[in-house]
Amino acid sequence: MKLIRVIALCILVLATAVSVGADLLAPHDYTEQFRLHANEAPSRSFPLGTDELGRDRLSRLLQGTRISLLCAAGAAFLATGAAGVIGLVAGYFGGWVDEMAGAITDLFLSLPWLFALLTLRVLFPLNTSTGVSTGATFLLLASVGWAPSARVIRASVANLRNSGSIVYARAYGCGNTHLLFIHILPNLKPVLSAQFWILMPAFILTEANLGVLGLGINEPAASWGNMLAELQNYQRIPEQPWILAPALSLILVVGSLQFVLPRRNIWQ
Amino acid sequence: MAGLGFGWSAAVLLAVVATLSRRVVTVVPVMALSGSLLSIPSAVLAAVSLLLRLSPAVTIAAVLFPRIFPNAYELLRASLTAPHVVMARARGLPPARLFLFHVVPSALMPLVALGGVSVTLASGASIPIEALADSPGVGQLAWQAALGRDLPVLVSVTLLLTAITVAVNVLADLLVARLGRHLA
Repeated sequence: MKLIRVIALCILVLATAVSVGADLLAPHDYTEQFRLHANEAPSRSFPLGTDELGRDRLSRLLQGTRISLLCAAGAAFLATGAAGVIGLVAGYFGGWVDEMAGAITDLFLSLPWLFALLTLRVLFPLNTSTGVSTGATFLLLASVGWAPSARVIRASVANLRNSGSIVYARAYGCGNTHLLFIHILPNLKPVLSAQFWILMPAFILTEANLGVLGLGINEPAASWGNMLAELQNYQRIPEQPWILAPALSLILVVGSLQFVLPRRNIWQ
Repeated sequence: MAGLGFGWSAAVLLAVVATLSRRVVTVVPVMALSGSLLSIPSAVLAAVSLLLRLSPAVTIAAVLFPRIFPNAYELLRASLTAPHVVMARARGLPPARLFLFHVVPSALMPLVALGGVSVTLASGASIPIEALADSPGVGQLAWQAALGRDLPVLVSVTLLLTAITVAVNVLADLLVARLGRHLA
């Protein structure tokens, strides 16, 4: 098991390095179209072949790894932050604040994720710039995905509030702000970190599903999701198995996250 | 619904087998299968299933299985070491009776509660699966509405599924309360 964890960690480090150094490692520009080489099989010039527009698949995969990984991490950071604020306030103050936050959290937990994301995505124009569609996709993921984490953080804060150290600190005259930020927040670090790592693979998978549906990040940007949109013509897989390269990268990274991280809440 | 049924049946059956055998040879392959399926986006599962000419229900089952199996396995394993089960075993209860009347009831309540969540998961998985398989259903309807920017349809479908999720969760809660009274 230890060996598997080490291998998983190596895969994650490699994926992060590839995503950071995508520009240096890519053999071609990921948007450059080689019209005479469209839909080509892997060769020395194009190690993973080319897509329908003649763009190098390997260069796009490297760029896609960067966007998918870094943006999923960004979205997970935002969602954990939002969940942290809501959970902290609800768990600490209790009463009507807790009830209201609980009701909003329950509402978001009842929403079917992908349906809610499609609904919100439709509010944005389909033909937006790359930057806007990338930002919008991951902002939407963060806006829908915070609820399960908020519930966990709220429960941790409610437990901490009645712990001995906090009761003593309150008895010494510490104010709410001091208690929240100096005494409770530092104790929440393991919970917040676990929630971040739980949300990240969930966001990577959801972005991939949105991309296959053509509602993720817009072209010409590359992401694992929009590269997987080629799977809409799944009959091509036996003749061109290399179109599954983004799926394999995604599976390797998400699978490695499962091995490296502490036990995950798989209901995310 | 068929996908939900397949997913639950496979997950619970394998969890029971893994719990009863308690051998590495049985547990590790099922855990590996569950972990692998958990890392694959439902759209990729749908594409592979279509190539293998499997029905969309099997794909939905494959999406649900890795989310149900680890929970069912952990619950059954925890029940197996509960004090009342250890006591019953020490008193010489036959294994089948011990499992059916003492282990399963303890694990049943949390599993029923998870049943409500699996409906939301199945509906979410249905969008890419139905879109790729071109099979009619709520997922296909939502996808077409999203591409056609038909907001009223999307909002209605989302609200309908939210209402179904809430109703199933309420039913699960009522069932859990009833089971709790019965077991007490």
